[in-house]
Order: sequence, then structure tokens, then C-alpha cells
Amino acid sequence: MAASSKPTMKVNIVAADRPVWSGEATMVSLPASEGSMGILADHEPVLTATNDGLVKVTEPSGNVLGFKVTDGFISFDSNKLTVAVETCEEAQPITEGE
Amino acid sequence: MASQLAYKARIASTASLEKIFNAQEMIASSRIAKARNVALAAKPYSDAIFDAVQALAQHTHISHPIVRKDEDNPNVAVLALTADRGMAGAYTSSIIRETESLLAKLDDQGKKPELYVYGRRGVTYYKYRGRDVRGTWEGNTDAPGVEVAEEISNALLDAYMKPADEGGVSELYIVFTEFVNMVVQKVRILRMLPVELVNVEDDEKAEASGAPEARPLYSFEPSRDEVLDRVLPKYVQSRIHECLLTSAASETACRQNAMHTATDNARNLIDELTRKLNATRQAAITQELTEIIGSADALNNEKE
Repeated sequence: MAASSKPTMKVNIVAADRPVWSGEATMVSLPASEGSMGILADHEPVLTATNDGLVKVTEPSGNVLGFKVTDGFISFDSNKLTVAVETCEEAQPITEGE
Repeated sequence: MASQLAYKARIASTASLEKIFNAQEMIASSRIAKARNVALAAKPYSDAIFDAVQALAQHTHISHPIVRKDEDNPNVAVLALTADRGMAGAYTSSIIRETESLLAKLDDQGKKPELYVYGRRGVTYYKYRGRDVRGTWEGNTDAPGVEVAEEISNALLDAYMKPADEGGVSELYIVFTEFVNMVVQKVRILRMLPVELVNVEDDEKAEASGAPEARPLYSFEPSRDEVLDRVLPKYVQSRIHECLLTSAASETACRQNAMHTATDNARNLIDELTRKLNATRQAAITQELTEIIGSADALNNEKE
């Protein structure tokens, strides 16, 4: 299983009224304000505004989860990604891992 | 001495009131846990925003209007968070009292306070007295959602961002009730705008010694100012939401305490009335006996 050897980061998705999801992920793609943005583990610290759209989280197992979000922002530092958005729907599996 | 019938009627009505108070108390105590959970669930988001604002504050020379104070404009906004329904003891009246003293203080400072009110009780209070209120919101004071917080913060930020000659305000105060614990709720006045950015270094010293010395230097996308534009209004909104939630928890706790006292009072009243009813009944019985014995005596005396 090659996927498990990839470096991972902590991901925390919070909506204004509740925490939505948290866990490990190898990659997260986000609807940043200047266009879609992918974040891998050990990214440089970044603070970015995001638009309405879909946040895709790739778990170490290869599963991809999708979260429909409204506008907000993300911050990444010390290998920890925080996605803070106004509202967020529950996770929808997009593709299954092996 | 009132008649037995009158006592019975009063006991019956007090008993039904007691049932209502008791039910209200039970409703309030079941909602407390929920209100607390809602407040806890919103915490990660406000923490995330606070961290982001801290990161932004590290880059000095923030000249965003939200943190800059416009000294020339005497207009200030005051938001009072009251309850929708009564039966919550002194909850609304202490908020109104604090608001009035804040308004008087601002007047003394030569400022022109403008009032915003959330909660039906507060709105009716000021409407009845014919006071000028700039904006009001009603509904869901015991379980305020994100939508209410958004509505309120949008209206207040609008007023704040407008120039002075278009009716803009230079400061925003919030009068709300802090939930200390089940028994203690404190009315507090918070200056929400302009935002006071905490000095990061002072803050770090206060934090546990395990905090990292240097905070990461963020890169901002698309630009620092645009991120500020997005994050600061959200910061204000989440702070307002926090105030709404802690007020809601306080309201529920106040209601529970008030209803508990009311239930106890009703029970005491019923006890007292029952005692009086018994005394009255006994007096009536004694009188009837006296009459019977007296008339029997009179008959006996006549025979002799």
C-alpha cells in the first residue's frame, strides 16, 4: 500500500456553529479566492481566504471526502490545517480507496 | 375570616400556577445542557478565527477601519441583548438598567449613543417609552443561530463602516449577560468595535511556557489586506455570536432560578392557605357544636 507511506498532516474543518471533521490527510484541495489550491503535508504557513465550493480531503487510505462549504478562510502552520467556514455540509465520499 | 369556598378557590389556582412554574423550571433545566453544548460547539470556530487574527496582528501597521478609531465622530452604537419572553427573573431588567447607565455615561462624554436591541422584552420596553431605537431583532434569544448573529453583525458593521455624515458610528458597545455558572450570571459591557488587537508578545508571556518562541510567518493569499477584509468581519461576527450564546445560556439559567423560587413560593402559599382553610373549617364546626349544645341546653332548661 503505497498511500500509507506519504507524509500526512492534521486537518480540522470547523463551521461557525460546530466542528465538522478532523483527522489525518495526505492532500487537501480548497476553493481559494484566487482559484483552486492544493495543500500537501509540510506546506509553508499560509492564511488564505476561500470562496463557496468543495473542499476535497484525501485520507491516508486513499478515500477522498468532499465537503460543500460557503466562504471562509484556511490557515496552515506546523503541519496543521484549519478550515474555518460559515457553513459546511457533512462529508460525501467521492472515491473509495483500495 | 374569609369563607372556606374562597380559600379552596385560591388553593386551586395557586396549585395550577405551581404546576406551570414547575414545568417551566424543568424545561429550563433541560435546555441548559443544550445551550452549553451549542456554546461549546461554536468554540473551535471562534478559536480558529482568533488564531488567524493573532497571526495577522503580528504583521504590524494594520490600518483596516475595523481596528482604527475615528475620534471625530461622536456617534456610537449600543447593542443590548435581552430576552424574548418574561419569567426569567431580573434578566431583562438588569440588562436594561446597565444599558441606561451606559447611555447616560456616553452622553456625559459628549457622545451620541444609538440604540440597537435584540429580544422582544427589550424592544417592547423601549417602544412603550417612545425611545428612538435604530435597529431591533426578535426571536430565538434562547437558542440564537448563526443567521441571527450574521444579521446583527452585518447591520452593525454597515453602520460602523459608513462615514459619519451618513449616520455612521465610531464605536460599538454590547451589553450582554455572561454565564459564570448556574447560579451566577453577570451583566457585562463589551466594547466590540474598534477591535482591540492583543499584543502578541504580552499574550505569549501569559500563555503556558510551552508556547513556541517564534510564531510562523504566514504568507497571505491573495494579499494581506484582502485576507484582513475577509477575516475581521468574521471575527466580529463570531464575537457577537459568542455574546448571543452566553446570553442565551444565562437567560435559561435565570429562568430556571426564577421558576425554582416561584415554585417554592407557590408551595409555601398553598401550605399557608391550607392551614387557614383548616382553621376556618374547625371554627365553623366549633360554632355549629356550640349552637347545638346551647339550644339543647335551652330546651332542657325550659322542661325544668
